[in-house]
Amino acid sequence: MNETYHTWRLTFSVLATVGLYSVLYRENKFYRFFEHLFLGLASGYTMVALWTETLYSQWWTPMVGSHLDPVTHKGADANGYWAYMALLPLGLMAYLVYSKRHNWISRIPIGIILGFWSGQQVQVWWNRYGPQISDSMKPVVPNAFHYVDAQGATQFSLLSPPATAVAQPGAIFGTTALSNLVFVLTFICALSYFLFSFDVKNKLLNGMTTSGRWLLMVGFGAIFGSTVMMRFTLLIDRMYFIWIEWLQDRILPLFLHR
Amino acid sequence: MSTAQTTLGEKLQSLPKPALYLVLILLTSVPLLVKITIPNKEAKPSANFYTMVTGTVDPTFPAFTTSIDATKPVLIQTDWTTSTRGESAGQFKSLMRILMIRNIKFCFYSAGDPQAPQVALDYISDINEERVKAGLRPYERWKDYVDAGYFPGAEAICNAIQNNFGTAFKNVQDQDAEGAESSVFESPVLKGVRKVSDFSVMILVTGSNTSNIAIERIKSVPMIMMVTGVMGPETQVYYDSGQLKGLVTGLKGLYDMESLMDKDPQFKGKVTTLDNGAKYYPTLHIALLLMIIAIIIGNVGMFMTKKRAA
Repeated sequence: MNETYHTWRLTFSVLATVGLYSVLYRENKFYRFFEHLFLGLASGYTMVALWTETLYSQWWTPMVGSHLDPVTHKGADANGYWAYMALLPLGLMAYLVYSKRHNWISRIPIGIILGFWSGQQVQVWWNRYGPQISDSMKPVVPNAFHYVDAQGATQFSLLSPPATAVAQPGAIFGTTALSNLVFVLTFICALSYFLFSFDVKNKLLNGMTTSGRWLLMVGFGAIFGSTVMMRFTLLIDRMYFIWIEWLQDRILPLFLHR
Repeated sequence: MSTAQTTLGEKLQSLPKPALYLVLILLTSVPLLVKITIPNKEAKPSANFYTMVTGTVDPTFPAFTTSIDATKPVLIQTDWTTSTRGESAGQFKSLMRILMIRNIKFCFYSAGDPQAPQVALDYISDINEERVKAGLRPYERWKDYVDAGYFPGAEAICNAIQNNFGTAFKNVQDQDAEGAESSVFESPVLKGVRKVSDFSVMILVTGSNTSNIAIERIKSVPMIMMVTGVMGPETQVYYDSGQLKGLVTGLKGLYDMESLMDKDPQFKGKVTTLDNGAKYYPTLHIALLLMIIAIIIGNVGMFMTKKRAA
Protein backbone atom coordinates (compact mmCIF):
# COMPACT_ATOMS: atom_id res chain seq x y z
CA MET A 1 0.00 0.00 0.00
CA ASN A 2 2.75 2.37 1.03
CA GLU A 3 4.80 1.51 -2.07
CA THR A 4 1.75 2.00 -4.31
CA TYR A 5 1.09 5.38 -2.73
CA HIS A 6 4.73 6.33 -3.19
CA THR A 7 4.62 5.33 -6.88
CA TRP A 8 1.47 7.38 -7.48
CA ARG A 9 2.98 10.34 -5.64
CA LEU A 10 6.09 10.21 -7.81
CA THR A 11 3.99 9.82 -10.96
CA PHE A 12 1.98 12.90 -10.06
CA SER A 13 5.25 14.79 -9.41
CA VAL A 14 6.47 13.80 -12.87
CA LEU A 15 3.22 15.12 -14.38
CA ALA A 16 3.68 18.37 -12.48
CA THR A 17 7.27 18.67 -13.70
CA VAL A 18 6.25 18.09 -17.33
CA GLY A 19 3.34 20.50 -16.86
CA LEU A 20 5.56 23.29 -15.63
CA TYR A 21 8.19 22.75 -18.33
CA SER A 22 5.47 22.74 -21.00
CA VAL A 23 5.54 26.55 -20.84
CA LEU A 24 8.80 26.35 -22.81
CA TYR A 25 6.72 25.38 -25.81
CA ARG A 26 3.98 27.92 -25.22
CA GLU A 27 1.60 29.20 -22.55
CA ASN A 28 -1.06 26.49 -22.04
CA LYS A 29 -3.78 25.32 -19.67
CA PHE A 30 -1.77 22.30 -18.51
CA TYR A 31 0.99 24.67 -17.31
CA ARG A 32 -1.54 27.08 -15.74
CA PHE A 33 -3.16 24.23 -13.80
CA PHE A 34 0.07 23.12 -12.20
CA GLU A 35 1.23 26.69 -11.58
CA HIS A 36 -1.93 27.41 -9.61
CA LEU A 37 -1.69 24.08 -7.85
CA PHE A 38 1.82 24.93 -6.64
CA LEU A 39 0.81 28.42 -5.54
CA GLY A 40 -2.22 27.11 -3.68
CA LEU A 41 -0.22 24.39 -1.95
CA ALA A 42 2.54 26.79 -0.92
CA SER A 43 0.08 29.38 0.41
CA GLY A 44 -1.95 26.81 2.32
CA TYR A 45 1.16 25.18 3.78
CA THR A 46 2.56 28.55 4.83
CA MET A 47 -0.64 29.57 6.61
CA VAL A 48 -0.81 26.34 8.58
CA ALA A 49 2.93 26.41 9.32
CA LEU A 50 2.68 29.97 10.60
CA TRP A 51 0.20 28.82 13.22
CA THR A 52 1.69 25.45 14.15
CA GLU A 53 5.37 26.39 13.98
CA THR A 54 5.25 29.98 15.16
CA LEU A 55 2.10 31.54 16.53
CA TYR A 56 1.05 28.52 18.60
CA SER A 57 4.44 27.85 20.17
CA GLN A 58 5.82 31.40 20.31
CA TRP A 59 2.68 33.35 21.16
CA TRP A 60 -0.37 31.32 22.14
CA THR A 61 1.22 28.74 24.43
CA PRO A 62 3.24 31.22 26.53
CA MET A 63 0.24 33.56 26.65
CA VAL A 64 -2.15 30.98 28.09
CA GLY A 65 0.59 29.59 30.33
CA SER A 66 0.74 25.99 29.20
CA HIS A 67 4.39 25.99 28.18
CA LEU A 68 7.35 24.36 29.91
CA ASP A 69 9.83 27.01 30.93
CA PRO A 70 13.38 25.75 30.33
CA VAL A 71 14.78 27.86 33.17
CA THR A 72 12.11 27.54 35.86
CA HIS A 73 11.01 24.06 34.67
CA LYS A 74 7.40 24.99 35.29
CA GLY A 75 5.01 22.80 33.39
CA ALA A 76 1.46 23.16 32.19
CA ASP A 77 0.39 25.13 35.24
CA ALA A 78 2.87 27.93 34.55
CA ASN A 79 1.42 31.44 34.70
CA GLY A 80 0.50 32.91 31.34
CA TYR A 81 2.10 36.04 29.94
CA TRP A 82 -1.16 37.79 29.25
CA ALA A 83 0.65 40.92 28.11
CA TYR A 84 1.18 39.01 24.84
CA MET A 85 -2.53 39.66 24.21
CA ALA A 86 -1.60 43.24 23.28
CA LEU A 87 0.20 41.87 20.20
CA LEU A 88 -3.04 40.60 18.67
CA PRO A 89 -4.74 43.98 17.98
CA LEU A 90 -1.35 45.36 16.94
CA GLY A 91 -0.96 42.59 14.38
CA LEU A 92 -4.54 42.86 13.20
CA MET A 93 -4.07 46.59 12.57
CA ALA A 94 -1.84 45.69 9.63
CA TYR A 95 -4.85 44.15 7.84
CA LEU A 96 -6.65 47.49 7.87
CA VAL A 97 -4.49 48.34 4.88
CA TYR A 98 -7.38 46.89 2.87
CA SER A 99 -9.85 49.43 4.31
CA LYS A 100 -10.17 52.72 2.43
CA ARG A 101 -11.39 54.56 5.53
CA HIS A 102 -9.08 53.12 8.19
CA ASN A 103 -5.96 52.21 6.24
CA TRP A 104 -3.95 54.85 8.18
CA ILE A 105 -4.09 52.53 11.20
CA SER A 106 -1.99 49.94 9.35
CA ARG A 107 0.90 52.42 9.42
CA ILE A 108 1.26 51.93 13.19
CA PRO A 109 2.53 48.31 13.12
CA ILE A 110 4.44 49.04 9.92
CA GLY A 111 6.08 52.04 11.65
CA ILE A 112 7.06 49.89 14.64
CA ILE A 113 8.65 47.28 12.36
CA LEU A 114 10.47 49.97 10.38
CA GLY A 115 11.67 51.52 13.62
CA PHE A 116 13.15 48.21 14.83
CA TRP A 117 14.70 47.64 11.42
CA SER A 118 16.19 51.13 11.14
CA GLY A 119 17.60 50.94 14.65
CA GLN A 120 19.58 47.83 13.71
CA GLN A 121 21.02 49.18 10.51
CA VAL A 122 24.19 50.91 11.76
CA GLN A 123 25.35 47.80 13.61
CA VAL A 124 24.18 45.53 10.80
CA TRP A 125 26.03 47.54 8.16
CA TRP A 126 29.24 47.46 10.14
CA ASN A 127 28.96 43.74 10.90
CA ARG A 128 28.52 43.05 7.21
CA TYR A 129 31.02 45.44 5.61
CA GLY A 130 33.47 46.22 8.44
CA PRO A 131 35.48 42.99 8.10
CA GLN A 132 35.46 43.37 4.31
CA ILE A 133 36.81 46.93 4.46
CA SER A 134 39.45 45.82 6.93
CA ASP A 135 40.38 42.85 4.72
CA SER A 136 40.77 45.15 1.69
CA MET A 137 43.96 46.59 3.21
CA LYS A 138 46.20 43.92 1.74
CA PRO A 139 50.02 43.98 1.62
CA VAL A 140 51.29 44.24 -1.96
CA VAL A 141 55.04 43.94 -1.27
CA PRO A 142 56.48 40.45 -0.72
CA ASN A 143 58.37 39.98 2.56
CA ALA A 144 59.24 36.27 2.42
CA PHE A 145 61.56 34.42 0.04
CA HIS A 146 62.38 31.36 2.16
CA TYR A 147 60.23 28.60 3.56
CA VAL A 148 60.74 25.58 5.79
CA ASP A 149 59.92 22.29 4.08
CA ALA A 150 58.42 19.17 5.67
CA GLN A 151 61.91 17.90 6.58
CA GLY A 152 62.72 21.13 8.43
CA ALA A 153 65.20 22.46 5.84
CA THR A 154 65.06 26.09 4.72
CA GLN A 155 64.44 26.52 1.00
CA PHE A 156 64.46 29.55 -1.32
CA SER A 157 61.32 30.46 -3.26
CA LEU A 158 60.79 33.61 -5.31
CA LEU A 159 57.10 33.04 -5.96
CA SER A 160 55.33 30.71 -3.52
CA PRO A 161 56.19 27.71 -1.33
CA PRO A 162 54.75 24.24 -2.08
CA ALA A 163 51.61 23.14 -0.25
CA THR A 164 53.65 20.88 2.02
CA ALA A 165 55.71 23.79 3.42
CA VAL A 166 55.38 24.69 7.11
CA ALA A 167 52.98 27.64 7.46
CA GLN A 168 54.55 30.97 8.45
CA PRO A 169 52.06 33.50 9.81
CA GLY A 170 52.40 36.91 8.13
CA ALA A 171 54.64 35.67 5.30
CA ILE A 172 53.85 37.33 1.96
CA PHE A 173 55.38 35.43 -0.94
CA GLY A 174 55.58 36.74 -4.52
CA THR A 175 52.38 35.18 -5.83
CA THR A 176 50.37 36.31 -2.80
CA ALA A 177 51.68 39.88 -3.23
CA LEU A 178 50.79 39.79 -6.94
CA SER A 179 47.32 38.43 -6.16
CA ASN A 180 46.86 41.16 -3.53
CA LEU A 181 47.97 43.82 -6.03
CA VAL A 182 45.37 42.63 -8.55
CA PHE A 183 42.76 42.77 -5.80
CA VAL A 184 43.73 46.27 -4.64
CA LEU A 185 43.82 47.65 -8.21
CA THR A 186 40.44 46.08 -9.00
CA PHE A 187 39.03 47.44 -5.75
CA ILE A 188 40.24 51.01 -6.43
CA CYS A 189 39.14 50.99 -10.09
CA ALA A 190 35.66 49.61 -9.27
CA LEU A 191 35.29 52.17 -6.48
CA SER A 192 36.46 55.03 -8.71
CA TYR A 193 33.75 54.15 -11.22
CA PHE A 194 31.19 55.24 -8.63
CA LEU A 195 33.21 58.08 -7.08
CA PHE A 196 34.12 59.79 -10.33
CA SER A 197 30.93 59.34 -12.28
CA PHE A 198 30.95 63.03 -13.21
CA ASP A 199 32.92 64.62 -16.06
CA VAL A 200 36.53 63.57 -15.49
CA LYS A 201 39.29 65.36 -17.40
CA ASN A 202 42.28 63.67 -15.77
CA LYS A 203 43.56 60.84 -18.00
CA LEU A 204 44.55 58.60 -15.09
CA LEU A 205 41.16 58.92 -13.39
CA ASN A 206 39.45 58.44 -16.73
CA GLY A 207 41.38 55.23 -17.30
CA MET A 208 40.56 54.03 -13.81
CA THR A 209 36.83 54.63 -14.18
CA THR A 210 36.83 52.90 -17.57
CA SER A 211 38.77 49.96 -16.13
CA GLY A 212 36.36 49.93 -13.20
CA ARG A 213 33.43 49.60 -15.59
CA TRP A 214 35.10 46.70 -17.42
CA LEU A 215 36.03 44.98 -14.19
CA LEU A 216 32.46 45.31 -12.94
CA MET A 217 31.32 43.73 -16.21
CA VAL A 218 33.68 40.81 -15.54
CA GLY A 219 32.12 40.47 -12.08
CA PHE A 220 28.61 40.53 -13.48
CA GLY A 221 29.66 37.96 -16.07
CA ALA A 222 30.86 35.65 -13.28
CA ILE A 223 27.56 36.10 -11.45
CA PHE A 224 25.61 35.39 -14.64
CA GLY A 225 27.74 32.29 -15.28
CA SER A 226 27.02 30.97 -11.78
CA THR A 227 23.32 31.65 -12.25
CA VAL A 228 23.24 29.73 -15.54
CA MET A 229 25.11 26.82 -13.94
CA MET A 230 22.58 26.72 -11.14
CA ARG A 231 19.61 26.75 -13.53
CA PHE A 232 21.19 23.91 -15.50
CA THR A 233 21.69 21.97 -12.28
CA LEU A 234 18.01 22.37 -11.42
CA LEU A 235 17.09 21.03 -14.86
CA ILE A 236 19.52 18.14 -14.50
CA ASP A 237 17.97 17.32 -11.12
CA ARG A 238 14.49 17.27 -12.66
CA MET A 239 15.73 14.99 -15.46
CA TYR A 240 17.31 12.71 -12.86
CA PHE A 241 14.02 12.65 -11.02
CA ILE A 242 12.07 11.68 -14.14
CA TRP A 243 14.44 9.17 -15.73
CA ILE A 244 16.13 7.59 -12.71
CA GLU A 245 14.00 8.05 -9.57
CA TRP A 246 10.66 7.57 -11.31
CA LEU A 247 11.17 5.59 -14.54
CA GLN A 248 14.19 3.41 -13.71
CA ASP A 249 13.64 2.88 -9.97
CA ARG A 250 9.82 2.85 -9.82
CA ILE A 251 8.05 2.15 -13.10
CA LEU A 252 10.37 -0.26 -14.96
CA PRO A 253 10.58 -2.73 -12.03
CA LEU A 254 6.76 -2.93 -12.05
CA PHE A 255 6.84 -4.29 -15.60
CA LEU A 256 10.06 -6.28 -15.37
CA HIS A 257 8.99 -8.20 -12.23
CA ARG A 258 5.68 -9.32 -13.72
CA MET B 1 8.66 34.13 -49.54
CA SER B 2 10.65 35.85 -46.84
CA THR B 3 12.39 32.62 -45.73
CA ALA B 4 13.93 32.28 -49.16
CA GLN B 5 15.73 35.56 -48.60
CA THR B 6 17.01 34.65 -45.14
CA THR B 7 20.79 34.48 -45.13
CA LEU B 8 22.83 31.83 -43.35
CA GLY B 9 23.97 34.41 -40.79
CA GLU B 10 20.36 35.28 -39.95
CA LYS B 11 19.44 31.59 -39.75
CA LEU B 12 22.29 30.96 -37.33
CA GLN B 13 21.00 33.76 -35.11
CA SER B 14 17.46 32.51 -35.05
CA LEU B 15 17.68 28.80 -34.34
CA PRO B 16 14.23 27.51 -33.32
CA LYS B 17 13.89 27.60 -29.52
CA PRO B 18 11.95 24.30 -29.22
CA ALA B 19 14.80 22.55 -31.06
CA LEU B 20 17.35 24.02 -28.66
CA TYR B 21 15.24 22.98 -25.65
CA LEU B 22 14.92 19.47 -27.06
CA VAL B 23 18.68 19.19 -27.51
CA LEU B 24 19.18 20.56 -23.98
CA ILE B 25 16.78 17.99 -22.49
CA LEU B 26 18.55 15.22 -24.38
CA LEU B 27 21.96 16.40 -23.27
CA THR B 28 20.86 16.67 -19.65
CA SER B 29 19.22 13.24 -19.71
CA VAL B 30 21.49 10.85 -21.61
CA PRO B 31 24.67 11.46 -19.53
CA LEU B 32 22.71 10.62 -16.36
CA LEU B 33 22.30 7.07 -17.65
CA VAL B 34 26.03 6.45 -18.04
CA LYS B 35 28.80 6.75 -15.51
CA ILE B 36 31.28 9.51 -16.32
CA THR B 37 34.04 10.57 -13.94
CA ILE B 38 35.33 14.11 -14.05
CA PRO B 39 38.73 14.85 -12.52
CA ASN B 40 38.41 17.36 -9.71
CA LYS B 41 40.66 19.71 -7.76
CA GLU B 42 38.88 20.78 -4.60
CA ALA B 43 38.46 24.50 -4.06
CA LYS B 44 39.95 25.95 -0.89
CA PRO B 45 36.62 27.21 0.57
CA SER B 46 35.11 23.73 0.17
CA ALA B 47 38.20 22.09 1.70
CA ASN B 48 38.02 24.48 4.65
CA PHE B 49 34.34 23.67 5.14
CA TYR B 50 35.21 19.99 5.02
CA THR B 51 38.00 20.34 7.56
CA MET B 52 35.71 22.28 9.88
CA VAL B 53 33.01 19.58 9.98
CA THR B 54 35.12 16.44 9.62
CA GLY B 55 38.36 17.26 11.39
CA THR B 56 40.20 15.78 8.40
CA VAL B 57 42.89 18.05 7.00
CA ASP B 58 43.18 17.83 3.24
CA PRO B 59 46.84 17.39 2.24
CA THR B 60 46.41 20.08 -0.43
CA PHE B 61 45.66 22.70 2.22
CA PRO B 62 47.75 21.72 5.26
CA ALA B 63 47.83 25.28 6.63
CA PHE B 64 44.18 25.07 7.59
CA THR B 65 43.76 22.94 10.68
CA THR B 66 40.78 24.33 12.60
CA SER B 67 37.90 21.93 13.13
CA ILE B 68 34.86 21.88 15.36
CA ASP B 69 34.63 20.37 18.82
CA ALA B 70 32.66 17.17 18.17
CA THR B 71 31.36 17.10 21.75
CA LYS B 72 29.42 20.33 21.26
CA PRO B 73 26.18 20.51 19.23
CA VAL B 74 25.91 22.21 15.85
CA LEU B 75 23.30 24.84 15.00
CA ILE B 76 21.91 24.51 11.47
CA GLN B 77 19.79 27.11 9.71
CA THR B 78 18.21 25.30 6.79
CA ASP B 79 16.44 27.65 4.38
CA TRP B 80 16.17 25.53 1.26
CA THR B 81 13.22 23.64 -0.15
CA THR B 82 12.63 21.52 -3.23
CA SER B 83 12.96 24.57 -5.50
CA THR B 84 16.76 24.32 -5.12
CA ARG B 85 16.83 20.54 -4.65
CA GLY B 86 19.39 20.12 -7.45
CA GLU B 87 22.12 21.72 -5.38
CA SER B 88 20.89 22.07 -1.81
CA ALA B 89 19.63 18.49 -1.32
CA GLY B 90 23.02 17.00 -2.14
CA GLN B 91 24.76 19.52 0.10
CA PHE B 92 22.39 18.83 2.99
CA LYS B 93 22.70 15.06 2.58
CA SER B 94 26.50 15.16 2.61
CA LEU B 95 26.40 17.36 5.72
CA MET B 96 24.01 14.97 7.46
CA ARG B 97 26.15 11.96 6.57
CA ILE B 98 29.20 13.66 8.08
CA LEU B 99 27.51 14.80 11.30
CA MET B 100 25.84 11.42 11.81
CA ILE B 101 28.97 9.34 11.25
CA ARG B 102 30.81 11.60 13.72
CA ASN B 103 27.92 11.35 16.23
CA ILE B 104 27.60 15.13 16.39
CA LYS B 105 24.29 16.34 17.78
CA PHE B 106 22.52 19.14 15.95
CA CYS B 107 19.58 21.49 16.20
CA PHE B 108 18.02 22.86 13.03
CA TYR B 109 15.53 25.59 12.28
CA SER B 110 14.50 27.71 9.34
CA ALA B 111 14.24 31.47 8.97
CA GLY B 112 13.62 31.42 5.25
CA ASP B 113 10.75 29.11 4.33
CA PRO B 114 7.99 27.39 6.35
CA GLN B 115 8.45 24.22 4.30
CA ALA B 116 12.17 23.97 5.00
CA PRO B 117 12.01 22.10 8.36
CA GLN B 118 9.78 19.38 6.83
CA VAL B 119 12.09 19.08 3.82
CA ALA B 120 15.04 18.68 6.19
CA LEU B 121 13.18 16.00 8.17
CA ASP B 122 12.42 14.10 4.93
CA TYR B 123 16.08 14.04 3.95
CA ILE B 124 17.19 13.06 7.46
CA SER B 125 14.74 10.17 7.15
CA ASP B 126 16.32 9.17 3.80
CA ILE B 127 19.82 9.23 5.33
CA ASN B 128 18.58 7.17 8.26
CA GLU B 129 17.22 4.53 5.86
CA GLU B 130 20.62 4.49 4.17
CA ARG B 131 22.34 4.11 7.55
CA VAL B 132 20.12 1.23 8.59
CA LYS B 133 20.88 -0.57 5.31
CA ALA B 134 24.60 -0.04 6.00
CA GLY B 135 24.22 -1.55 9.49
CA LEU B 136 24.57 1.78 11.30
CA ARG B 137 22.20 2.99 14.00
CA PRO B 138 19.55 5.48 12.85
CA TYR B 139 19.91 9.03 14.14
CA GLU B 140 17.15 9.65 16.67
CA ARG B 141 15.03 12.77 16.88
CA TRP B 142 15.24 14.36 20.33
CA LYS B 143 18.26 12.30 21.40
CA ASP B 144 20.56 13.16 18.49
CA TYR B 145 18.86 16.10 16.81
CA VAL B 146 15.97 18.49 17.34
CA ASP B 147 13.73 20.33 14.93
CA ALA B 148 13.17 23.89 16.19
CA GLY B 149 10.77 24.69 13.36
CA TYR B 150 10.24 27.85 11.39
CA PHE B 151 10.74 31.44 12.50
CA PRO B 152 9.19 34.11 10.28
CA GLY B 153 11.42 37.16 9.98
CA ALA B 154 15.04 36.11 9.56
CA GLU B 155 16.23 39.49 10.91
CA ALA B 156 14.35 39.08 14.18
CA ILE B 157 15.40 35.50 14.92
CA CYS B 158 19.05 36.06 13.97
CA ASN B 159 19.14 39.11 16.24
CA ALA B 160 17.51 37.16 19.06
CA ILE B 161 19.92 34.22 18.63
CA GLN B 162 22.89 36.55 18.88
CA ASN B 163 21.54 38.45 21.90
CA ASN B 164 20.23 35.52 23.92
CA PHE B 165 19.80 32.06 22.44
CA GLY B 166 18.02 30.81 25.57
CA THR B 167 15.33 33.45 25.22
CA ALA B 168 15.10 33.13 21.43
CA PHE B 169 14.34 29.39 21.64
CA LYS B 170 12.59 29.57 25.04
CA ASN B 171 9.18 28.53 23.74
CA VAL B 172 10.39 26.14 21.05
CA GLN B 173 9.18 22.59 21.46
CA ASP B 174 9.88 19.32 19.69
CA GLN B 175 8.68 15.74 20.09
CA ASP B 176 10.51 14.05 22.94
CA ALA B 177 11.37 10.33 23.17
CA GLU B 178 7.75 9.55 24.20
CA GLY B 179 6.32 11.60 21.35
CA ALA B 180 5.11 14.43 23.63
CA GLU B 181 5.87 18.06 22.89
CA SER B 182 8.61 19.30 25.23
CA SER B 183 10.97 22.22 25.39
CA VAL B 184 13.99 21.66 23.15
CA PHE B 185 16.22 22.64 26.08
CA GLU B 186 15.14 19.42 27.79
CA SER B 187 16.60 17.34 24.97
CA PRO B 188 20.09 15.83 25.22
CA VAL B 189 20.99 17.97 22.19
CA LEU B 190 20.56 21.37 23.87
CA LYS B 191 21.27 20.35 27.45
CA GLY B 192 23.48 23.09 28.88
CA VAL B 193 23.16 25.31 25.83
CA ARG B 194 22.17 28.87 26.74
CA LYS B 195 24.23 31.04 24.39
CA VAL B 196 24.88 30.70 20.68
CA SER B 197 28.58 30.40 21.52
CA ASP B 198 27.77 27.10 23.25
CA PHE B 199 27.48 25.60 19.75
CA SER B 200 30.65 24.49 18.01
CA VAL B 201 29.63 26.06 14.69
CA MET B 202 26.63 27.53 12.92
CA ILE B 203 25.94 26.09 9.47
CA LEU B 204 23.62 27.71 6.94
CA VAL B 205 22.24 25.65 4.08
CA THR B 206 20.44 28.17 1.95
CA GLY B 207 19.34 29.21 -1.51
CA SER B 208 18.30 32.71 -0.51
CA ASN B 209 19.74 35.86 0.99
CA THR B 210 19.15 34.75 4.58
CA SER B 211 22.92 34.18 4.46
CA ASN B 212 23.46 37.96 4.45
CA ILE B 213 21.02 38.44 7.32
CA ALA B 214 22.78 35.83 9.46
CA ILE B 215 26.23 37.29 8.79
CA GLU B 216 24.99 40.77 9.67
CA ARG B 217 23.69 39.67 13.05
CA ILE B 218 25.36 36.53 14.38
CA LYS B 219 28.99 36.96 15.43
CA SER B 220 29.55 34.87 18.55
CA VAL B 221 29.98 31.52 16.84
CA PRO B 222 32.10 30.42 13.85
CA MET B 223 29.95 30.31 10.74
CA ILE B 224 30.16 28.17 7.60
CA MET B 225 27.74 27.97 4.69
CA MET B 226 26.40 25.79 1.91
CA VAL B 227 24.86 27.99 -0.76
CA THR B 228 23.53 27.64 -4.29
CA GLY B 229 25.50 28.68 -7.37
CA VAL B 230 23.48 31.90 -7.67
CA MET B 231 24.44 32.89 -4.13
CA GLY B 232 28.08 31.92 -4.66
CA PRO B 233 29.64 35.17 -5.94
CA GLU B 234 28.02 37.36 -3.30
CA THR B 235 28.82 34.91 -0.49
CA GLN B 236 32.44 34.40 -1.56
CA VAL B 237 33.37 37.87 -0.27
CA TYR B 238 32.43 36.82 3.27
CA TYR B 239 34.73 33.85 2.99
CA ASP B 240 37.58 35.97 1.64
CA SER B 241 37.24 38.45 4.50
CA GLY B 242 37.23 35.67 7.10
CA GLN B 243 33.59 36.15 8.13
CA LEU B 244 32.98 32.59 6.97
CA LYS B 245 35.37 29.79 7.91
CA GLY B 246 34.28 27.57 5.04
CA LEU B 247 31.99 27.73 2.04
CA VAL B 248 30.41 25.15 -0.24
CA THR B 249 29.07 26.74 -3.41
CA GLY B 250 26.66 25.09 -5.80
CA LEU B 251 27.30 21.84 -7.60
CA LYS B 252 31.07 22.33 -7.72
CA GLY B 253 31.16 22.73 -3.95
CA LEU B 254 29.02 19.62 -3.54
CA TYR B 255 31.30 17.61 -5.82
CA ASP B 256 34.27 18.87 -3.79
CA MET B 257 32.63 17.64 -0.59
CA GLU B 258 31.82 14.24 -2.08
CA SER B 259 35.33 13.87 -3.54
CA LEU B 260 36.88 14.68 -0.17
CA MET B 261 34.54 12.22 1.60
CA ASP B 262 35.44 9.57 -0.97
CA LYS B 263 39.14 9.96 -0.10
CA ASP B 264 38.54 9.98 3.66
CA PRO B 265 38.72 6.62 5.49
CA GLN B 266 36.32 8.12 8.06
CA PHE B 267 33.53 7.81 5.47
CA LYS B 268 34.72 5.64 2.57
CA GLY B 269 32.89 2.32 2.62
CA LYS B 270 30.71 3.31 5.58
CA VAL B 271 28.27 5.74 3.97
CA THR B 272 27.48 6.88 0.46
CA THR B 273 30.24 9.27 -0.50
CA LEU B 274 29.66 9.93 -4.19
CA ASP B 275 26.01 10.90 -4.65
CA ASN B 276 24.21 13.82 -6.36
CA GLY B 277 27.40 15.78 -6.98
CA ALA B 278 29.12 12.94 -8.80
CA LYS B 279 25.95 12.16 -10.75
CA TYR B 280 25.16 15.70 -11.89
CA TYR B 281 28.60 17.25 -12.37
CA PRO B 282 29.52 15.51 -15.67
CA THR B 283 26.05 16.27 -17.07
CA LEU B 284 26.50 19.94 -16.16
CA HIS B 285 29.69 20.03 -18.25
CA ILE B 286 27.83 18.67 -21.26
CA ALA B 287 24.99 21.19 -20.81
CA LEU B 288 27.52 24.01 -20.57
CA LEU B 289 29.16 22.75 -23.74
CA LEU B 290 25.83 23.15 -25.53
CA MET B 291 25.56 26.72 -24.25
CA ILE B 292 29.08 27.55 -25.43
CA ILE B 293 28.33 26.08 -28.87
CA ALA B 294 25.06 28.06 -29.04
CA ILE B 295 26.91 31.29 -28.15
CA ILE B 296 29.56 30.60 -30.83
CA ILE B 297 26.90 29.85 -33.47
CA GLY B 298 25.01 33.04 -32.58
CA ASN B 299 28.18 35.14 -32.76
CA VAL B 300 29.29 33.59 -36.06
CA GLY B 301 25.83 34.38 -37.43
CA MET B 302 26.09 37.97 -36.20
CA PHE B 303 29.51 38.51 -37.80
CA MET B 304 28.33 36.95 -41.07
CA THR B 305 25.30 39.27 -41.12
CA LYS B 306 27.40 42.35 -40.30
CA LYS B 307 29.98 41.45 -42.93
CA ARG B 308 27.26 41.02 -45.54
CA ALA B 309 25.65 44.33 -44.60
CA ALA B 310 29.04 46.10 -44.87
